[in-house]
Amino acid sequence: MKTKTKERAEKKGREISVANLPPDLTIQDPQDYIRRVRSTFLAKVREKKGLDQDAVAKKCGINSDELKRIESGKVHEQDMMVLNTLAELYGIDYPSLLFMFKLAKLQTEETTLKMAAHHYQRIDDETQGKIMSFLEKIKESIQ
Amino acid sequence: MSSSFGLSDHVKHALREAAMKSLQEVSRIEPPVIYDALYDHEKLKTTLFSKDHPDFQGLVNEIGVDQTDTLRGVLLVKQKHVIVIEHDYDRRNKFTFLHEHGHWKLPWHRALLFKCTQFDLSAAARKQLEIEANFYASEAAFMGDLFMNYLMSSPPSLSHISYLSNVFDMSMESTFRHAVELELRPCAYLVMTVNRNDSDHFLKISYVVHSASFAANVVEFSRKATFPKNHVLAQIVVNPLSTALNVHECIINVKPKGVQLKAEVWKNNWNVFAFCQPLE
Repeated sequence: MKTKTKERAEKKGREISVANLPPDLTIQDPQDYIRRVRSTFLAKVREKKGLDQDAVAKKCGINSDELKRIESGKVHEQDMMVLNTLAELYGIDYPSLLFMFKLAKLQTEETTLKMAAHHYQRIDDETQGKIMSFLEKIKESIQ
Repeated sequence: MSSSFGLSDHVKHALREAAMKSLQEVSRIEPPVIYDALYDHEKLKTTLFSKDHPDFQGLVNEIGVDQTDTLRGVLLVKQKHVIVIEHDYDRRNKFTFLHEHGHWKLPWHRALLFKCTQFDLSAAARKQLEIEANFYASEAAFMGDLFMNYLMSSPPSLSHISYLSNVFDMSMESTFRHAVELELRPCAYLVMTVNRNDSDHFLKISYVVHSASFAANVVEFSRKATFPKNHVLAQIVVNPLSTALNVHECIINVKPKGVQLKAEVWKNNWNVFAFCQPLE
């Protein structure tokens, strides 16, 4: 039979242990996490822009199967030329795409916030737009 | 200098198109390409900077590079200024100017150089940028398909490629690399260093370029291959009769296939070079 002290200790342990984090907060596999972010982020932004895969692929100089592979998160390496074209078409930060494909080491805070705003399901389009323009204003004032 | 291996076909296509567009912008249709015209068109300022200049260290600090030995040039995007570290060999400076012009003209390079320092990028990204800029520089210097027409106008040989080097006003080394990469006929270009203290590994391959048909149908040299002091390729260095000549012609046997090759061998102060073709 467990003593109350032991139960408290276990409970406390669960509270502070990384292993006890709920599944949606645990990054079990960093590669898988990056893949999931890539796979949801790129397709979502393209759809929001109302662009179809064929048109985007053509602009990038690749075929639509290749774009599907990129959007599914199965591609670990990508040409910077393609990522730059995607960044321009989607209106997102080019270095952030490089970061997602492990071509850049650092991500700016601005990029992190933009990606979070794009990615967070509960923020509606209007709010996302406000966040984006607010970040742009900050950026301009710094420059 | 990096090779073009590892670039995807659609990127090569885009680089070639960008280089050709640059030449069209300055109406260049005959070799050699003059880089000044390309720079004037873009309103880019150029500076040749000597490593012996008292301000060199200040420049290095400003750019923020950690290895000055490998520093050839730098593009300062916001200032629209290209600085090339002066080399004694003019044709090498020209290649560096074309390389930096590539960083400026390629949108996915320029955008990055605006926003990131080299330390923000991974090693893979930096390598990709350098390989692409080298490919662009080659395409611009050798004027795309025009070089192919010149190349195929004679059988491949040291004298023919040497002639092309003068026509396009490019270094022998870059002309050989470009020619062998494009060649439809089987040939290979070897660049070797001399190790005078090791008779068994007297010549060591620095790098080798095979034409596609050479690698597929003849033989592929290992990049780790070495040749002993008594090897026929080493005669250009050790044999007084051969060293008196500019070029030593010989036949080499390549194991394990026992393939016989005709080789033209020459040297400069630092390297030994060989141009090899199958013996007919």
